[in-house]
Amino acid sequence: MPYLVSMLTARVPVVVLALFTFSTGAAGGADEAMLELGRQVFLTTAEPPCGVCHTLANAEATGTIAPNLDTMRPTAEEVRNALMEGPGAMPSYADTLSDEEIDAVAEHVAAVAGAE
Amino acid sequence: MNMSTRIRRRHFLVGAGGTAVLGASGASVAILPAIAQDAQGGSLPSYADWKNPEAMVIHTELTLETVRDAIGTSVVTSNDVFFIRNNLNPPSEEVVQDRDAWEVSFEGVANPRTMTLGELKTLGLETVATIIQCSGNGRGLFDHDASGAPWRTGAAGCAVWSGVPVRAVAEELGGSVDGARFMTSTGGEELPEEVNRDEIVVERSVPLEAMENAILAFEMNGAPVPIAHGGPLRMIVPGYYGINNVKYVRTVAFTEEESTADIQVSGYRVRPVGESGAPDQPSMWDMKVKSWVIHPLMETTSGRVLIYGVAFGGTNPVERVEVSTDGGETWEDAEFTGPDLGRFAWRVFVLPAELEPGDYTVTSRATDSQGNVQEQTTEPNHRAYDYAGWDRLAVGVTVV
Ligand code: HEC
Repeated sequence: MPYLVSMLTARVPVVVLALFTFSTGAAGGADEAMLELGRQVFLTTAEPPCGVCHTLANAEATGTIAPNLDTMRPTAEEVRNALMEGPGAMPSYADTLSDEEIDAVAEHVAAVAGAE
Repeated sequence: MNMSTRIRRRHFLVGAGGTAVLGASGASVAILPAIAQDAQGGSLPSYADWKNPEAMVIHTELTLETVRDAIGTSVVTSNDVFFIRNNLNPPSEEVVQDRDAWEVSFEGVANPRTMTLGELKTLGLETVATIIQCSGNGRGLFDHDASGAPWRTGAAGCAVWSGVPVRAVAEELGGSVDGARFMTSTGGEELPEEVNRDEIVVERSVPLEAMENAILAFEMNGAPVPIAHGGPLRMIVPGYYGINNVKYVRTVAFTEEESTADIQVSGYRVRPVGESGAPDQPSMWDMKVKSWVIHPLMETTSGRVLIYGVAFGGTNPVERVEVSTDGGETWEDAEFTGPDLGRFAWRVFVLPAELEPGDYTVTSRATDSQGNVQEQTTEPNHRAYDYAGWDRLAVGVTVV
């Protein structure tokens, strides 16, 4: 099943997200549209994109310089804090992403990290 | 493992909430009971799987804290319990397969060039005992919710380092260029190409005078420097916060200006809560005077009790430590034990006390050779750097 999800991810993201929402019970308050926005932020909107530095299997991200998000399994709150602050050597996204985008990517990462 | 890592982190936060009342100021302040910092066990990241899991609190794979009393009383903190704070993931084992082949470039000298560690080792040898303390040590003692590991006392250790004095290298290369005001060290991590270097590079500038004591260290406590601690080669700037002691050092430059890396320009800057980091704010360079008790913690039996801990003065020798068992109302001088390993090392102190059954708030207060006294409380700063106040470094002890 997880394998299937990742195979589908690229082509029909909305369906996949629906599966996820269903199978993981997804994070409280995060609806499908928000999770989809979060996914887009993770993959492309964020500059630099998260996957350049982090690994996240769901996004086929394989960055190795920063902690592996699948192993870390951060809460949405932890992701939000990281993006606002840019802890240590991580860039801050407070000035380049909107609050909505930050919330969305936080919920997205919390929902999918370590799920595969 | 994923699930358990998560649970552990939550437990840790829950455990950090204990409070007690301090006598001296009459104010009610949070005191962190030592029990909240029991080792979390297991799940050490692979690059640090040789650490003693009983002695480590695993915050993240880049942040491993030493349990409060695991630093021991023999001055030097052993490698297997020494805390870890890496800014980026450590490089692979390849970097230590042939340690002497590690290359370092020197810039801002009359004759800039690259040297191998093997070559560097012919220029000089020096050994220094120094504390490495993460800038964020004590973050968990602040009330505001700053991001980063909620360290308490355990992002600090004292080690004996051997290496090549930086001044000997500079001399060999014709001296630093005129106008140089900083020594800038760069880490050798391979950075992703898609990212602007300044956003991610571990590069730190310190005032040029720090070069006098700095060494390029290849040995830590008698062993080749482990990758987890910056091996094969680490810049050691004695008396300076951990971040300045650049791991996997690849470039050393004598520069007129500070580095343009984010972690120099806006990171590691002390500022009020809510303010952004900026170059005109103080940088986390030399450490301030600080001490804390490591025994007793939690509970002990009545009668004669030895109260002991560690104390240091940053770049100044520590001269005096007082201990209080009543939350700072009264103080008694403690004695130093063990060898004095120099002004950059910590000293272990001890005070014998006769304690009746009851509840005690035990804390310590250090004074350095310049008369700087450890502060009672540390004002909040945005990133929650270095909590050195003796109020919250106190422990609540029940004597039975
Ligand atoms: C340029 C590299 C880089 C990029 C791009 C990046 N990060 Fe990070 N990130 C890091 C580093 C380095 C750390 C480790 C910080 C530390 O421990 O000091 C980190 C830490 C984190 C953490 C853990 C914070 C904690 O509580 O310890 C989270 C969550 C995170 N990043 C999420 C993201 C997300 C989501 C994105 C994209 C919006 C992103 N990162 C983009 C480098 C990066």
